[in-house]
Amino acid sequence: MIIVGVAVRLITCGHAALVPRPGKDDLRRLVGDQIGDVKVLNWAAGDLEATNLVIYKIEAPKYNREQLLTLAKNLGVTGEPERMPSSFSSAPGYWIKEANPTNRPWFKAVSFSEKSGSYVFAGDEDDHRWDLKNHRPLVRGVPTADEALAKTLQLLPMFNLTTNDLERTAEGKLRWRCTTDGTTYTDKTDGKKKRFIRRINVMLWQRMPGGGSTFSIGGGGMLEASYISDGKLAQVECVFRKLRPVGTAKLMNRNQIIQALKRGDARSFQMPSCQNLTITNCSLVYPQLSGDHKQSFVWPFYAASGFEIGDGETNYVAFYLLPPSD
Amino acid sequence: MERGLRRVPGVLISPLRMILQRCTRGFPAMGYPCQFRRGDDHCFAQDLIRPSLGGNGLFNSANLVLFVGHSAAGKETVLSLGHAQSYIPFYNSGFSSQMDWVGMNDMRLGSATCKWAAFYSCNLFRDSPRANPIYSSMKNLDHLAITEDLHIMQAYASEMSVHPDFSKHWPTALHGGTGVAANHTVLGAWRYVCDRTQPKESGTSANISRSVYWPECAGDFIYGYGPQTDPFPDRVQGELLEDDQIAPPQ
Repeated sequence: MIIVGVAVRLITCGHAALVPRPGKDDLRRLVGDQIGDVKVLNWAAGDLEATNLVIYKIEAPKYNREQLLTLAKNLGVTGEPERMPSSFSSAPGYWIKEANPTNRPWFKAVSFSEKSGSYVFAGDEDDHRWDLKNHRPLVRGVPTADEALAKTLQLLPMFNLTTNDLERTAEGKLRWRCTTDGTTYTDKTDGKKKRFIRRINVMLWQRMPGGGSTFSIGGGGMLEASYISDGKLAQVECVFRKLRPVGTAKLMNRNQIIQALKRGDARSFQMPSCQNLTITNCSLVYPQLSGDHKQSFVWPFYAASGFEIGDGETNYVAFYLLPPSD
Repeated sequence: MERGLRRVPGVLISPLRMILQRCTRGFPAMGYPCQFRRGDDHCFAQDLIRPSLGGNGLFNSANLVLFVGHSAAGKETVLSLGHAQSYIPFYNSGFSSQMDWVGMNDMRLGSATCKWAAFYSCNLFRDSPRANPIYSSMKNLDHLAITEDLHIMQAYASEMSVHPDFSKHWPTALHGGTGVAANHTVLGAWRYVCDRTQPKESGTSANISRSVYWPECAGDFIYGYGPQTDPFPDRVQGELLEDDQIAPPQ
């Protein structure tokens, strides 16, 4: 019995040594700065999901020359892979940059980052199409949201992904979002402010094997594809990291979360005054940094959001709380 | 890079020494020695206001200028303007009761040297969907700080978060270091910075970065990294375009 006890203890110690807590810099990048203590806190959120809080180690990305060449071929980029310049934010890594015989600074390229495992495709067309003489947009044929989603799902095999790798909502539907990049202008004919859409972006998130939701910082844990005039693919960035479960964190109940918020343990990218806070939603998220960052682990956080009332204004706020180690 | 051009960004900065330090290291490495840099009590209202109001012309003495600090949108109409405007406050710790407020209409940005001005601060272009929008009033009455010499002015149409990684992402994009040409134009780099540094929030709470530019300057790269086009003369601000970026929401 004693021997067994020691063995378990050793395993536990060894486990803890392998799964470090996020450092100060990690926390700041993943979930922002520590907030002050919350004076009044109302809880209007539902019950928390009983999900395991899994800690994942990220496997070191490995460069595969053939895979990069295949991706380039499928996306219409010609050339040979070479080391990307060390000044690139996602370096070290490899890229194929299509030779451009003109001096135009636009180019087609695909790249792979050894820092994050991200793949990026960049088209060589500017999405800004404007009739200078008549002061009106020349953009046409930008896909609708549904069309853009369908096109993006067709891209998945190029990144060795299937829809099983994508996060789904609690209702079992694909989690996706669509945004548009637009330009506003004052129409000379009627003097009205108008907006034209230059590009449409579709976002899909990485499924977390043990449940919870990917929280993307600058594109981490996300596949984003953008389309411009005539439905052309303008850009794709895929930052799906390979995850391996290495530990767990302790579940927290509602009271523990409230107490932690009141103590000022939570972090936020905002700087709320926290005088009078109402939490309307609380869920489990896994933050991932952008493809420009090396990340070694993916930790679970409780994400609480709601609104605060201060100085006569009501502001949306979001906080993140790191659960204790198991 | 052509000789004789003054490729000298100025960095006028308030609280974040990390941004100051990184920018003053990063830009010289790109061939842009720092023309000036200011921090905290060394920033003065005179650095920003137009010479006819007593300004010293500092902001217009570099090709590319950056301000990081506080700015705010006024709610009350300024009688002499006929609308509310945005302000940049200047505070001196030696004179704690005194705060100088520089209004949008007190600035005139752009010169034979100064082509691009960026403000990494809140609400300078406050606009809908935020409450109390002021941008359209300023634009329609030609009261924005942008002149025909300045190609592009950049700021936020909402609140924003000052993130230390700004100083990594902005120079990286401007010098062509992302591998994606769309991020390397002056407009694209500002969008890229918003995407990389602002919290991912949903709906109307998301922060909105904005570039205000003359249509012919949409494809501008900074000197040495691609072409740029001078604005056509005799423009009115009603002809300006706005390029907004919302950080992709969760």
